[in-house]
Amino acid sequence: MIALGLCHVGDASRTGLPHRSVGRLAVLGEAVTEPRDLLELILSVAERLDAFLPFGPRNPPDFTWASSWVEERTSDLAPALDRLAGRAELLVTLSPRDCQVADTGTGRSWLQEKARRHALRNHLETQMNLLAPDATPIPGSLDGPVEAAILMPPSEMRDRAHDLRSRCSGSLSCKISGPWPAFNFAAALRRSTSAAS
Amino acid sequence: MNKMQPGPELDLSPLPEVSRISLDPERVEQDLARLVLGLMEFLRKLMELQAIRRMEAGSLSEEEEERLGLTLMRAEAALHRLAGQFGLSPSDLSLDLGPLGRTV
Repeated sequence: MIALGLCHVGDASRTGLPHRSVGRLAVLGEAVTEPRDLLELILSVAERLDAFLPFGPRNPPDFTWASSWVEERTSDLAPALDRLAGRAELLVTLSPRDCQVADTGTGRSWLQEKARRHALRNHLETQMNLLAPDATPIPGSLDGPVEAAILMPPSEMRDRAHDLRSRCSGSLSCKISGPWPAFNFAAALRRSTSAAS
Repeated sequence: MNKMQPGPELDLSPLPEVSRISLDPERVEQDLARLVLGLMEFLRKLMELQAIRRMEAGSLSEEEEERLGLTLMRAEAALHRLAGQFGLSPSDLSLDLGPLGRTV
């Protein structure tokens, strides 16, 4: 069985899923293997619960391992789950609108093209900071699009998306989607709590 | 809460994975290849960044730029070709080291 995520112990029975109580928290699990099925399950749980901290669906942890992991970090995870109440993620992706690939037939032109992409990536990161300083950066490749997630009430997402698109300069493409479960908030939290322990 | 459904612009790729490198006995060759090729790609990226810094600082001759660029270009192609032989995409070579972040 794999772990889907965490919720308050009082909410666990509402999901109808197997769970294990760890103090104020409950680890939700299910026997699914396909990432797409798992994602749909996580989405349905997030719809039903006000506060749900999901694990990533691409490589979910084993239920027993996740329960031990949560048990060691309850004091960090419980307040984090409280902060999630009524909020979800808005995903923002910035990329160049006109992404022309230069001729890379020679080693020199290949290196110059790589340098150009690195500079573009830095520019995109700066633009993302200006557009959404409250966003959590999502780690990605060094020369690809820049992604970030904003944790906010779903009811405010439409206005925020409209604002972001209107402020996005003409040379940049701004893709926005949501509401999503707090995957990136959870990933950042996982990194910070693992580092602290 | 609003209904949550994957949007048309999204697939599973931007979603974060659990911060562990796990080896599955049923596909150990692919997992090991991912680990080894991921580390090689990490080193290649470091060399690429160093080459870009040196090029931008003007400390490379045109001939050196050509030789470095060609070497790195072929190394990238070879790594991607090897990854493909194990059913891995270039994005699979980015290893999540948990609190340390991703390799590339």
